[in-house]
Amino acid sequence: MGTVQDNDFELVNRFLSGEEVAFNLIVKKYQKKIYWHARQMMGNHLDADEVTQEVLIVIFNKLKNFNFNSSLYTWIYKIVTTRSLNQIRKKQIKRFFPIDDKEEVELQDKHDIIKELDAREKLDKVKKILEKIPPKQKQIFIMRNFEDLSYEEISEVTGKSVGGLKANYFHALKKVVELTNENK
Amino acid sequence: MKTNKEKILKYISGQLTQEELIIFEEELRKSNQLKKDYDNIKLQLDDLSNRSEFETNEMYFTNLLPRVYQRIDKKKRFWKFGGIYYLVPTASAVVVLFLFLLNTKTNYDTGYKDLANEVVNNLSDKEVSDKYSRELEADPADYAFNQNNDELNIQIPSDLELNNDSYTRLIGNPLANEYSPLRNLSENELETVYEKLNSTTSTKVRK
Repeated sequence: MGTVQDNDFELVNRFLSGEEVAFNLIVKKYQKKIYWHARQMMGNHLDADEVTQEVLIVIFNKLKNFNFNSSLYTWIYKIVTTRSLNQIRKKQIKRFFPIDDKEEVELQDKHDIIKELDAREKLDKVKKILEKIPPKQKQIFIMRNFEDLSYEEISEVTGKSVGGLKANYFHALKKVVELTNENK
Repeated sequence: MKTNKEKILKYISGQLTQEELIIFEEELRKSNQLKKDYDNIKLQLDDLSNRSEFETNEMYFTNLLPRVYQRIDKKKRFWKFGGIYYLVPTASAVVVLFLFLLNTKTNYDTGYKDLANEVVNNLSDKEVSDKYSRELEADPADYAFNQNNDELNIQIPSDLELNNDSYTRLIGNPLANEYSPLRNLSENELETVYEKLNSTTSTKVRK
């Protein structure tokens, strides 16, 4: 972990001294984590892609203000979680307006980066369960189950107390187990 | 199962106290049913959590950075060049609006000040005493029409005693209002005008 942070420190300093290639390295290092968090939160590729791009643009623009009060990874994570929640809110607003669902599904399928059909079906199953959970519970569920983050790390990212996170995770688990049983 | 499920989920989410944790783990070793329920829930959760197995199109990640740079450049260009197409009309609109508001405000001020000055400074004692008795009962609107050579007189019959009744008529009368800048004044400004008119007229009449 120390090496990773030292490496991040060096990359940020290189970027601040004008080396744009350092940003490329940061992107290469974190892009998959960013994408997969967004993907699990949003449930589809196109929205995840939008969030991922937005996050990378924010990193590019705000990296000059990064002061190593937290690790770069935590800082990036904060941006991803906030942007994902914002995107979910935007989607919820869009639901008030009629859209062609069939067309959207076709568009999603066409662009999806998951190659195998089995994998897509599995991801779709997860999506159907997670979309029935409130966004903030979903966020904690994803961080705990898919990203193996500790409560302390999640607390640093979300700013919530560990006790509150445990309670939220408990409710998320309960719903996930119920929904999994219903879908069997 | 329901009780077990609750306990298992509390265990997984780390909500058990140290004491409860020891009891639960002891029970997990001894109770086959609890072990079975626990394994079942763990299996369900693990089944959802295996995204690392997904094979993805790596081209997406290869192309991601160029796409991001494209968007960053687009934004930069917008602020450098394209923004002017939005900024100029927006700035013009703001300036026009500002001038309009400034002008309107000046009109209000001028209207109010003219009215007040006219009443407070320009009426002679004689005028007041001559007209006071003659016009006291007149309708402000009629009076306004009769005095239409002088715009200010049209706007407000300044030598009338403005008691509450005539004030209300003046403000409420559509004919008077049609020609009156009073409609441009706020309630507070009207109140001030009324008070000044009333006190000045009374003072002059008392003289």
